[in-house]
Amino acid sequence: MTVSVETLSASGPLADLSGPTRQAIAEYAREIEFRSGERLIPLGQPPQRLLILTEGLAKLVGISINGQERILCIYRPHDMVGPSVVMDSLENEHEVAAMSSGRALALSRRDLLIIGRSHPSLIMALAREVSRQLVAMTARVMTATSAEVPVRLSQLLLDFADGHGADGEGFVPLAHPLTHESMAQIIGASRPHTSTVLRDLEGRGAVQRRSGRGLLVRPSRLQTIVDYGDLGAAASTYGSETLPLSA
Amino acid sequence: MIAPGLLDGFPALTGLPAAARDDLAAVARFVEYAPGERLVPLIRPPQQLLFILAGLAKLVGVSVNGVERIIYVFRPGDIAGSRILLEESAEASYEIVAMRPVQAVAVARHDFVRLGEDHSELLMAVTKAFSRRLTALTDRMLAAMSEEVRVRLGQLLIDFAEDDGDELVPLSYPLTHEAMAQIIGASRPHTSTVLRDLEQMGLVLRRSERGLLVRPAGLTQMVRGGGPRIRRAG
Repeated sequence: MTVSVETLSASGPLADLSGPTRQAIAEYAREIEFRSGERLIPLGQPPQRLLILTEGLAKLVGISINGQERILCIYRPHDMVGPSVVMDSLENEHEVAAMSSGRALALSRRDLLIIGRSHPSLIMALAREVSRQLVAMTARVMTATSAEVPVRLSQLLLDFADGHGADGEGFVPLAHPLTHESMAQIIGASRPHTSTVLRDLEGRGAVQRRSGRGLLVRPSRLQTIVDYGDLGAAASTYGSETLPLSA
Repeated sequence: MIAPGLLDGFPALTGLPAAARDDLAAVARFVEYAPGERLVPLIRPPQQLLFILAGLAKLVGVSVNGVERIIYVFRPGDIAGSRILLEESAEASYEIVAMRPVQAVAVARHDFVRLGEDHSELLMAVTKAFSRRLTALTDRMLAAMSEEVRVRLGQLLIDFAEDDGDELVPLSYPLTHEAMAQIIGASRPHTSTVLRDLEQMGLVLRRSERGLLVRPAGLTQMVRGGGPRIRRAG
């Protein structure tokens, strides 16, 4: 399916490009649809195309030494998937798989290089996106190497809290639902331990597990846990107010 | 301005057209940092790209409980300061600090952006270097999520080994036990204990005239658990 310039105008990292550059991309790019579980970038080979998600979620997955699947990054709408498409060779030990059905704009490596020669601003947009992903991955490595599981889970829930009202004291749903299994794979913990920590967070009034809108989170309380780096220390700031609001 | 020859042999710039290299050299400056000096200070966004020619520098963060963690070690051939490309000047709780004397070529943000408009090959070369670092950081993320300190330390030693054979070889750059601990996210005493265990397994030799020696092939086998590393996700 071909892509319109209007679609590119609304596609996050390409939105700020000039009209002629977007026109050039529109001539080469294709819109693709994918189903949950479909591999968008397979294991063992460098990515051959750049994807920009327009709908749905995808995960960057690696297998740990002890054989457990770990989610290293989650791509959301407007994210670029496979920016390493520019590399000439890459022993790719991770794969990108769809977590839900969705859509993306696809630009092959070959076409990207052709357009980039006459429209350097496309390569600059790609460089900025890689830089942004470097910042995000740096923060994740820092959290993974220094924080306890409750803090890692709180940080994840904050990242996924629906932006509307996320700064307030109230509860908000996640922008994209996550299973306990997915949360466990992202924070590097077991599924049962993740569920136990979620229950503890509910006991601190930071989440509400069962509601008509699925899991609800309270960003202000989660932020306190992240800031203190400790569930217990954060709880002391609230004194006796540690019962869940749902109680 | 620097002599264009100073960038000869810089891996990311191999194959760059002469005109692009000359224009880059015309706006670049040669800079040096002593151990402990900050290449990119805390909070303030970087103002220049740094092409590392020699030495080592660490990207460091401090956790909420005050523990310093080394997220990444910049080596010769790396390009530091990728955040200059971000439009929003995001504050960051990380800094880049020289671990050993660093020599680098610095290019200011506005000069790099202007050069990129004329030389897409330069933009592409820098983007590839950032992509390589993103891949390395992603590998590190996976290692950090492995629960065993022994495996995390093994992976670090492989990354820094001078060669990849079955012989004992030195590290390309010496790392203290403290630095290793900060990289793998373990305590210094525990890291030393695990190093001793690895020595008993014949995978490292702690005291030699050449410093710490490591056996990359054996370490790789241990890290991969005897099986292939590449496995399909379910």
